[in-house]
Amino acid sequence: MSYPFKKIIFDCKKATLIVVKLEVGQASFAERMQLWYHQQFCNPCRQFQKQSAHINRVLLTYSRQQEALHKISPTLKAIWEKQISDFKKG
Amino acid sequence: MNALETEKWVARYADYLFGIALLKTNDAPTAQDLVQDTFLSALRAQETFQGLSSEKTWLTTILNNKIIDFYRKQSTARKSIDFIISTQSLFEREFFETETGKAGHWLRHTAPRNWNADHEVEESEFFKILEGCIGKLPRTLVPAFVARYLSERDSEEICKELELTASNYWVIVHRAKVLMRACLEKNWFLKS
Repeated sequence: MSYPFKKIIFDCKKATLIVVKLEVGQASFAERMQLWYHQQFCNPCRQFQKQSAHINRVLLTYSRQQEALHKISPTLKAIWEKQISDFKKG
Repeated sequence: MNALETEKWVARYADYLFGIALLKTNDAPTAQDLVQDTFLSALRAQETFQGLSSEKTWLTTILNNKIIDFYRKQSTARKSIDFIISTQSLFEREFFETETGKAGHWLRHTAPRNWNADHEVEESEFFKILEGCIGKLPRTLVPAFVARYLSERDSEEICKELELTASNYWVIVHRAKVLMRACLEKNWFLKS
C-alpha cells in the first residue's frame, strides 16, 4: 500500500479532527473524502462521529437549561439600580 | 428615534446580558462583573447612542466588547496555544499510537467503545457528570469549548472574539472534544 493511503487508514487523530470540523460544515472536500475512506476501515472513528454528535446535542440541552437557571439576584439588581440612579444625579 | 431609559435597564436587560456573559465566560462572578461594567460604560457613553439600534442591541454590543477585552487581558489565546503546544506529545501518547507503522491510531483502551444508548435515564444525574467533565478540561481550553459547544455561534465569530486563527481554534476544539468524550465514556456511558 502506498504511504499516503496507509497514513489515512491509521490516522485517527486527523480523522477525529475532521469530524469536529465537519459538524459545523467546515471540512473541505478533500477532508471529507479522507474521513470517508478512513471510516471504511475504522469502527472506533465511526463510533466517535456518532458519539460526538450525541455529545453536541446534550451540551446544547445542558446550556439551555443553565441559561434558564441563572439569574442575577434581586439584591445585586437593587445595588445596580442604585448605582445607575446615583450616576444620573451626578 | 429611540431614547434611553436608564432607570429600566437592570429590570429589562440584567438577566439577558448575564445569560450572554455567562455563556461566553462560563464563570458567574466574571459574568456579573462584565454586566455591571457594561451598564456603567453605557451610562458614561450615553451621548454616543444614536438611536439607530435598540437599547438592547446597543448594550449587547458594549457587553461583547467587554468580553473581548476580558479575553485579551487574560491573554486567553496565547495561553491556550502555549498549552496546546507544550502538551501536544503528551496528549498524543495518551490517546494514540506512536509506534511507526500505526502511528495516529487509537490505543486499545482509548478507542471509542459502543455506548448503551438508553443510558441517560436521569438527566439531572447525567448533567452532574457532564459538569464534572467540563470542570476537568484544562482551563485554557474552556473558553473555546464553551463558545463552540454551549452556544450555536459560528466559528468565524468565535475566532474573532477569542483572537485565534482558524487552525489553532480547530486544534483546541478537537482536543477538548476528545477529552470530553473520553471523560463521559469513563464516568457515564460505560460505568456499570
